[in-house]
Parts: sequence; structure tokens; C-alpha cells
Amino acid sequence: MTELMVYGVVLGSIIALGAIGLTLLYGILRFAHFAHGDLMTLGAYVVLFLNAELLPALGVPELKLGPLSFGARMLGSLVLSMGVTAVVALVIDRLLYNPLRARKSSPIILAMASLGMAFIVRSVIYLIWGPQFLFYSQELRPAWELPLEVRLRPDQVFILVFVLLLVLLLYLFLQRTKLGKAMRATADNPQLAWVCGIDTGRVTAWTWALGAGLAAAAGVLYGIDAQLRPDMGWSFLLPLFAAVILGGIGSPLGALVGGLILGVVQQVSTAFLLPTYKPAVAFLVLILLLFVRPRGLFGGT
Amino acid sequence: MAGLDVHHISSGYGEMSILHDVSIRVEPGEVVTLIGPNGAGKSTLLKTIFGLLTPTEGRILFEDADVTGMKPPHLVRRGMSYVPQVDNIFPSLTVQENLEMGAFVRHDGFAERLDELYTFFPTLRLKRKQRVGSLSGGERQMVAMGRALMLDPRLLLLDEPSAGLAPRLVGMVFDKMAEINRAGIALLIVEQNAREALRLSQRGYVMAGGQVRLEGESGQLLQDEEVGRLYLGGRR
Repeated sequence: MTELMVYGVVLGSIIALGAIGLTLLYGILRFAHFAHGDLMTLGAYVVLFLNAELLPALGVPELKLGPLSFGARMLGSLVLSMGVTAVVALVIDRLLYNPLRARKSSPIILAMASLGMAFIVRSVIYLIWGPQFLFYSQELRPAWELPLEVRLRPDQVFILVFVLLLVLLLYLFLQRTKLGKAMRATADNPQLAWVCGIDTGRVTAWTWALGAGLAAAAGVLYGIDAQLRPDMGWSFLLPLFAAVILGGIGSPLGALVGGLILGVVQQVSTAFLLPTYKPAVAFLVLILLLFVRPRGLFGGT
Repeated sequence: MAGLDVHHISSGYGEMSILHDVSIRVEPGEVVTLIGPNGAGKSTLLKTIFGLLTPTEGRILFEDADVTGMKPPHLVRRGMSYVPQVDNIFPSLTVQENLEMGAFVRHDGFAERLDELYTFFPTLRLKRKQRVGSLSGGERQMVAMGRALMLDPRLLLLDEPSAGLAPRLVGMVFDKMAEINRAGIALLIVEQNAREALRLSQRGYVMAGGQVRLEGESGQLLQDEEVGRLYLGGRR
């Protein structure tokens, strides 16, 4: 049971990374970004390309990092992939969403466009890498035996630490920097932000970069924990949205807490139910919580 | 130096035209009130001056420069500021962060200006770390005014600053406006409490049906029987 809860926290932290990006994007751009899961997938496959093909071809050596199943090159690929995915998101915004915004399309049109983009990204991944499961590492991954009958792999500890680090950096960015505050101000009241002279175009670009970067990291971390499939991000989409709604739409802190709750509940449910019921359990939690707090845990008043 | 000069403008929302051939002026350091019934076009006039709406005809001059059609981000840099009637704060940001956003395009002297603002609104200094959404209506109005003052404007446009406030807070808002004006800032006020607003101002314009119907010294307007009967809620 304790072990399931720990695994739940690992899964939840991955959901949280995706959900935070999704909620930030919703706060600024006011539409449900359905391609978010597929940005996760893209980030994961970009790392596969960098770490298994491009960087070795360039002669970058892999330096083993203690008990982890991967090394420094993989870590570098992870950071690079966050950047690459951010750039891809910015290009997509310029080509697809920006013209729609300029035409003052309704949020539902933008959401449907993003759904189309989700199919496109996934199909491209199928075309390039094929439908089979892929792995970052084929090494045997021994687990540590911890107290309370918890077996935890070093990779999973890395996932938790890395998510914690990203969340901390994001918190500092949003709370302490001028741009971060401008981002929150724009989410609060876009017209007043514009009136204050805040460059809302720049804020939009940064929101895409952050959201896509975090999504890429989530995809890579899931790939480290499990495996890579072209539909991995797509299957994350429902938990991502559930986490966003659970936490209160637009609240990064809410998305973090919502993601963790969903991860834990989903994993713990497998002690009593078939794993196929995981999504149903997630939605049961969502429904129950919305009865009590219709605006989510950290929703505005 | 001339203040604000609005020349024969017509304006509205898209196809719907609201203002017809409106001309007003605000001298430097002056307080001017716009009064008139709901739908007279007072708020539309403020929005047009501040570039939230583009006039279809006419010209707007601010300090001798033609600012017709200029957008708010440029106008705030030129010394004009605006407090909307609603949605005039960032509710999830703290008091201090709201003021920081007001000074977003300011490059220097932020700390000094912040200190001046806090001296001006002592309550805000005490609550600087609180989220504005959790403050009372009067405090929010102070934040909204404070945000608009962060760039040292020379002209402040205020849309219904006392709307929805408890009577004792209305007095506080008027006191603050008088203080702001004593610092040399010109005010153009749209106000339902027309009598109070006219007492604060040097001049006023009576608007109806998207046009200026009457203009004059505030004292004169306060004495005018028809104005009193129609717009000031009876004789007093």
C-alpha cells in the first residue's frame, strides 16, 4: 500500500508537470490546449533522437550518473528537448493559433484547432518512429529496498527530485521576476495588463515556451519510468485536464496538487480494482470534489 | 502647455456610433467632471480619449501632440492614465505587485514612487503583501488609483470612481481625488455623485445622447435649475 502511494506520487508528479503547463496556457490564452499530451510525447521522442542518435554521432560520451539507468548525456538531452519542444510550440502558435486569434476566433475554434494539431503531432511521431514500444535504456533496473516494504528505483527518485526542481524554478519565476509577475497579471486581467504597457505578445510567447518545456520534461520522465509509445501523451490528456480542473482552472499550485492527488488515487486504486479502471477512479474523485468545491481546490472566488 | 483638447470627435463600438461631434478640453492641473444620464456616452468618451476606442471623426490633442487613435500603452508613456470603472485591478496579485504592474514601463525611480504612493495611501502600505482580491471595495479602489498613478501622469481619467462604494468611502475617494489634484495632476472624472464631483471641479460638461449639451463653470452648473432638476437629483 505504501509502495503504491509512493508510485502514485511519482506518476502524480509527471501529471502535475503537464497540468501546470496546461493551466498556465489556459490562464493566458483562454482555450483548452488539446495538443498538450502530444507535446509530452514529442519531448520524449526528441530525447530518444538526441541521446541515442545525434549526440553519439557527434561524439558526446555518456557519463554514468551513480545508480541511475542513464547518464549525463541523457540529462543534457532532456534539457535540450525542453528547448526544442518550446520552439516547436512557438512555431505552431505562429502558424496556427496566432492567425486564429487575429481573426478573433472563439475559444472553441482554438481548442478544436489544437485537437487537430494533436493528431498531426502524433501521426508525425508514428511516421518517424513507428508504433512499437521503445525504451531509453535496456539495462536491468534494480530497485532499492526501503522501509515499509517500498521498492523504489533510483530513476524514480530522480523523477521526484527533477519535478521538485522544475516546480521550484517555476515558482521563483512567477513570484520574483518582472516577466513572471506580468504573466500572472495578464492571466488575471488581460486588458489592464495591456493598458499598463505589458507586452502581451511576449507574455504569450513565454507562456508557450514554459508550458511546452514542462510538457516535454513530463514526457521524458514518463519515458524514463515506463516506456515510449506514440500515444503516451494522448493517454495522459484526460488525467491532465482532470488535474487542472481539480486544482482550479488557471492555478499552477492547484494543478500541482491536483496532479499529485490523481496520481496517488489512480495507483492506490489498483490494489482493489483492475488497472483498467484507473481513469474511472480519477473521474470519480473529480466529481466528488467538484460537489464540495465547484471551482476546484484553488479556484478563484 | 496645453492639456487635453478633444476636437469634434465621433466614436462608438464597431457599427454602433455613440458619440457625435463631441468637443471638450482639460487644462493642465484642472479638474473637469462629465455628468449626464446613463447611456449619455460619458464612459465612451473616456475610452476614446484613452485609445480603447478609435474615433471615426475628429482629433484628440494631448499636450500639443496629436494622439488620435494612439493606443493605451503609448498614452501611459506620454503621461495619461486611466482607471476603468470595473476590472481595474489584478485580483490575484498582491497590492505591491499591482503597483509594480502600474509602473511596468518605468525604468527608474520605482522605489521612490512606491514610497510616495504608500505615503499617499497609508492603508496600502500596511496591506502591501495581501492579495487585492481579498481587500474591501474602498481599498481596491485605492489600489486601482495607485496603479494608475505609478507613472506620474499629468492627466488622470477616472470612470465612476465612487460607484458601488459605501457612503463613508465615497467621501474618502473624493478626498483622495482632491489630494491627487493638489499634487498638480489634472483629473477628468465621470461620476454619478454629480454634485460632489462638481464641487471638486473647476468646470463640467453635461452630456446626453452622445453629445455635449451644456458646459460651464462648476458653480454655474450647480446653480443651474435645469441641471439640478435633471442631473443632480433635485434642488438642495
